[in-house]
Amino acid sequence: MRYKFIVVTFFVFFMQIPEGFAQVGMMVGTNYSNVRHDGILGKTQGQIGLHLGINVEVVPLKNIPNLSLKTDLLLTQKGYTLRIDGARYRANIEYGSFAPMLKYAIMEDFSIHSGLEFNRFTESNVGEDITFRKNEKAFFFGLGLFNSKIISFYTRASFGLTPVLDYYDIDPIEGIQGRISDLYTTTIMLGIQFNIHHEKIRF
Amino acid sequence: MKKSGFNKGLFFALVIYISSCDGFVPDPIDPRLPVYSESGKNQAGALINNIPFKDHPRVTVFGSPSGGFILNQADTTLILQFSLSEKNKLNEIKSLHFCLEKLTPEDWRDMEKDFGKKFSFENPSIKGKIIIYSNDGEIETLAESGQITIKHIPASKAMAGTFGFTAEDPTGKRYEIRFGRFDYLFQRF
Repeated sequence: MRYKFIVVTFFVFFMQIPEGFAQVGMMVGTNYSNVRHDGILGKTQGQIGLHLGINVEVVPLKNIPNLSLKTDLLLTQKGYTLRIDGARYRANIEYGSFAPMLKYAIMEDFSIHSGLEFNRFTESNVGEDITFRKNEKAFFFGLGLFNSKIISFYTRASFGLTPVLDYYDIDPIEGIQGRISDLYTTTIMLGIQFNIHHEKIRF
Repeated sequence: MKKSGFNKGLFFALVIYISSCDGFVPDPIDPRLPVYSESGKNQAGALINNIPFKDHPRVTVFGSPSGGFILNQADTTLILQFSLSEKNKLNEIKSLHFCLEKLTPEDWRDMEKDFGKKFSFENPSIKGKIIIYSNDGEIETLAESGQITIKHIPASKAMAGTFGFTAEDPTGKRYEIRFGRFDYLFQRF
């Protein structure tokens, strides 16, 4: 419910801003993802995934044209790879992501951004639906190149603030000892954005 | 001209292949084993001497045969048996058999609470064994120490749990069964 409230609030806010200052883009790219944990998984390796989505960017204050509010709506793959007895086991965790952020253009073609991801679990190839938490929050920061052009590039580092796994603590002999909440995602995104509506550059 | 049966055979083989489904859902911590579940998935798994063995539903047009069963007798005895196989060696089966006797109504109530009820193999009414099949017949080795925890979930007609034990056969070969878990459909008679 709280998650829906945040999404609706943001969209209502965005609708109040004149269309003339909006920039709409499509984004696609690759993720390098791994998890941080308290030792329950042994050693994990990162893995490559994909993300794609759309975003809206607005300049809320006319007198600060370099500062903008941007929101991404993404489908993104996170996860980890386990190595056990020489074999690799890939665990994908897929999310629908709502990521509002503040963006600041330091120069015409160079910007930095930072915000929060609100991720909604959609699918995984391991565990059950109840094995993973429905929601994840992550903090991220990144930078962008050639924002004023039709095609721009971005990179972003994202750090999970809430655990993604909700599972059982199973002792080898004694069985279930309780429940555990662990695995925090770390993701590096690299992508390309196509600016399909580009009104912001009229400033 | 008589038509060759080859194409027809190939067609049916393709239909069976497409309609077959490997229902294995890996554990997020040890993906060699099935995920611990409590919904009657008809699956079990364990590390036997550190080698993963499992039974999981392989749904085909001929049904989804299960390698395990759980049944009760007069509410005082519960028998569980899981036939587990190693990956890519489906014919090399090891069975784990558990027999719980002298169960009380309180035991049944406890099995429905929290993570279920733990039964130790140090209790003479609780027996666990590993059964190895060979050309010379079956070799049964009783559990020396360890436990089986059983959770009964009447709402989903399931019985799930965990187990782990050690055993040594008459020749001195030791078995360590670790991270055992099971989840089968179960209806109390």
